[in-house]
Amino acid sequence: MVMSEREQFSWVWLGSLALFYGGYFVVISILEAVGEVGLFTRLGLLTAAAAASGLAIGLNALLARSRREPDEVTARDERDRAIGSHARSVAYGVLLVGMIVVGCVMPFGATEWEIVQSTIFVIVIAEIVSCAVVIASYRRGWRV
Amino acid sequence: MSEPRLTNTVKTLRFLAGEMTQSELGKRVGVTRQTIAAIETGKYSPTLETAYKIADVFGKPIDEVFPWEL
Repeated sequence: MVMSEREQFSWVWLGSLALFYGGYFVVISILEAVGEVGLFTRLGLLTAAAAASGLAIGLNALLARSRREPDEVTARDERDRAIGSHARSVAYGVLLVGMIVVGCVMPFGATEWEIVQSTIFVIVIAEIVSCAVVIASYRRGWRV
Repeated sequence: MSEPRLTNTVKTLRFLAGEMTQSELGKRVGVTRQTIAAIETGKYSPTLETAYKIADVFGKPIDEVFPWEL
């Protein structure tokens, strides 16, 4: 079966999260093990990860556009909306639990940067869960 | 005893309707061709509105396009 543009987007976004944001966390961990990591280094690495992800998404959008048949329906339809809504509700649960840990537990023992890094990590994990649910729903089928 | 399930005859009806493409059917009911493919393979159950629209395209009653197999 031909992959829908939404599924394709989710694969690219999932790959970007794993590769670029995963790389960001690995590099930060290595730098933290060596010594102090400054604000601008952190911001620079995060910006680089975001830019690389944005580039991958943009290239995917261009590729998807070039593959479209003339007059093809490309707007989100009812299946895309149902799958997207389901994925968001699952990811919201993950985000909620993560934010409770980061906002209500970590301030009592963690450093400021640990809290910041954990916040970004929880957001990335929630996005990964959202992508995984979208992909699984397209692959295995979706029924209410 | 097996669970009753919703099946469909969309692929057959497309073939009988002059080999209508998934893309063309999708355009007429307002969904993507991937959604039509998912409906045909039983990976997605359409909303009642879309089911009626599909039946309307083929000029068939809805239970003929989406039979409920007991």
